[in-house]
Amino acid sequence: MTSCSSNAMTTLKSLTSFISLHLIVLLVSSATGLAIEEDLKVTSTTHVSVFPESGKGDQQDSFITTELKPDLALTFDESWQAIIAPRFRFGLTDPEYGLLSLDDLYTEYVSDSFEVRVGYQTHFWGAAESSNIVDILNQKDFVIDFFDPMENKFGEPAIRLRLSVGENQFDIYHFSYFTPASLPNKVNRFNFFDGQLDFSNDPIYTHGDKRLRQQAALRWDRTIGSADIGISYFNGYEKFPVIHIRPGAVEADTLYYEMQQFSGDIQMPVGNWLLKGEALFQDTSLGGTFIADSVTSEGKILRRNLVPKNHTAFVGGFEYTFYGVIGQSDIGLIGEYLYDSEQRLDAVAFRPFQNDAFGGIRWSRNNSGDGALLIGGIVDMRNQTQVWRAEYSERFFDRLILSANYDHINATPEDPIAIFDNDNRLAIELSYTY
Amino acid sequence: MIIQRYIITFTFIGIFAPMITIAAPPPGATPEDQGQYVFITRDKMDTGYTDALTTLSMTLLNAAGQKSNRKMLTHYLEVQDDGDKTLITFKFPRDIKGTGLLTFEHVEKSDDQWLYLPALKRVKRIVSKNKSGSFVGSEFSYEDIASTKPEKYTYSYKREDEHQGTKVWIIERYPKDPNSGYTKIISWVDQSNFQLVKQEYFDRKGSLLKFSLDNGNTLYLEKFWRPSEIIMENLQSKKKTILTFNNWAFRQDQEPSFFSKRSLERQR
Repeated sequence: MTSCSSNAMTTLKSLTSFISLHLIVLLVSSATGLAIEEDLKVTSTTHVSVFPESGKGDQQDSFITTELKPDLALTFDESWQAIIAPRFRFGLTDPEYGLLSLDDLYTEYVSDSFEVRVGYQTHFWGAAESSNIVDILNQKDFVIDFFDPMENKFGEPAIRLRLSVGENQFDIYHFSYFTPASLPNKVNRFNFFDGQLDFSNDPIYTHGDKRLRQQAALRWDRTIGSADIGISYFNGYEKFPVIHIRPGAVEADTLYYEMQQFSGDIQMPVGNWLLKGEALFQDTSLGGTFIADSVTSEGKILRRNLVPKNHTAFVGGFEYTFYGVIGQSDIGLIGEYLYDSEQRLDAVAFRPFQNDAFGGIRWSRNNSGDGALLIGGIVDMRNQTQVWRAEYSERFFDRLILSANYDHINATPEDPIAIFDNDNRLAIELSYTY
Repeated sequence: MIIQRYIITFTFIGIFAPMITIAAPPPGATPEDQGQYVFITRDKMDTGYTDALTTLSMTLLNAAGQKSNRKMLTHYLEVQDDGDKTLITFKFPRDIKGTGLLTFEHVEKSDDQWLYLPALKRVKRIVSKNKSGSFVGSEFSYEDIASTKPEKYTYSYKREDEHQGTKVWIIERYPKDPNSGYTKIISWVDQSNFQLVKQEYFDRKGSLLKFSLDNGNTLYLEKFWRPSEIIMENLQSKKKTILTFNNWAFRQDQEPSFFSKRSLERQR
């Protein structure tokens, strides 16, 4: 509990320092007469999650958080700018949900042929809609929205060099300090242990330098014909850890293993169709093996290598949109297939979408509030385990966004998702942007 | 650069010399030629703008008169022998601030279009065949805001007329693109400056869908005409959008590399 309240304190302190920084910038620019151009956007969001089925163990049946996300851009001249965009989250029902993320806190030099960015930064790799398997650069927070954490990424301390050579774009990344995942503890839903166990605050790493193990990535990007193609390489820790329980342990362990990932992504319009795909190969041999005793979900003690095998994975499909269907509305259909070469249901790595199909329908109202409804589901082709989501959002009075979504999980007992079987959820979010 | 300006000036005189002496109907053997002449002249008059930028404000009014606003910064780049490049950055509503839309228009093939979503730091490819779809919930569709190349239509000149005291030509245009939301657009073109003053749009079923009024046509750099306001009114839904152009600036020496996916990610 102390760690939780200190968590909230840290968030509060950082918020104060952000405000002071903002004042310092104002002072410096007015005192020196230096023309620093400021551009500030602040989003505040209140989130309510309600779980209709009661939780197991210590799991709560609802939670409320409020988040403040300032985004300040300081432009010094045509080439230099700094972005200060932290995210402060407070748990209103439980300080456990408090969080600070430095989404962006960097300075950047931009010229016609190259860019250098230094500091905490957030990036995106990928093309697909149901899952972005190649998106490896940033760690994520899985506590608020386990199956869709893309808006809850942590900024990573890094240096990025971007080179433009003709039509080609090359990105070179260096990451100096690893961020472990934020995973659901026993009070949270989507806890892996029926609300019985927290995660240890001391993760295990296959490399002796632990969080200081240096990581790097390369990417080549180009538009060829009508296709946007990206080929990437990453060398570092897999972001989602292997979860295991040592015999007799009171906390669950997380193991971050090293790997190198070769991946590609493509998005390409063909007539009215938009084709998208992502594929990867992960070589997990970099950090060797990690043999340990661990307790299985049936309570048996098993001695095994906790580093997953090399694997390949793919996600891809299509999007097709009908325009002006009902009045100004557009209706989009999305179909994707998700594959993983690791087909065992009891594999050490948690990869629930091994042979699954995704289907979705998107209704964009094109009204003044940009109202949009999305209904989608991922269905396991072997055991029919399903994860469904219905989501609606609309803007009111030009500044308020109200969104609601409902998640429904229907898993067969042998599927890894079965541990979340009673975590159906209704989430409502209200956000205001200044 | 100076040489380029001279060439532009000569072309300018070359186009305008016959225009000034034009007797009432536009030249051409057939109504098709006459209509095409007007729209080719319009296109030629606008060549040489190199690059431009303006702030667009949109006021969306529904049938009950309720208002909603949009604001965006738009950069244009002239491309020789192809369609233009456009980069639109949304400024308002604040929640979509920083969202960018990059379009490479093409004469021969489909346009290329990318959307940048700042919350996800993601550049999404979008299907550019979406001509008829509403642009940000307004009464303007994507094809209404695109700079239309004359090659994309067939024409028929109808007659001369007067519109609010101005002598106009009335010309019908028929989009060649099967993905267009229209079967016909009737344009009222000011005879003195070749600028549009009014247009009527007919939907795929052939019925009158909406009309637009261009107000405050203004001459910039003694060559480039731009309206200061376009009002688009949908006759079927009774909804209306007022589009205002503020602070036009031309020839800002904008680098062509500004119109790129990497630049899209930097807009705020």
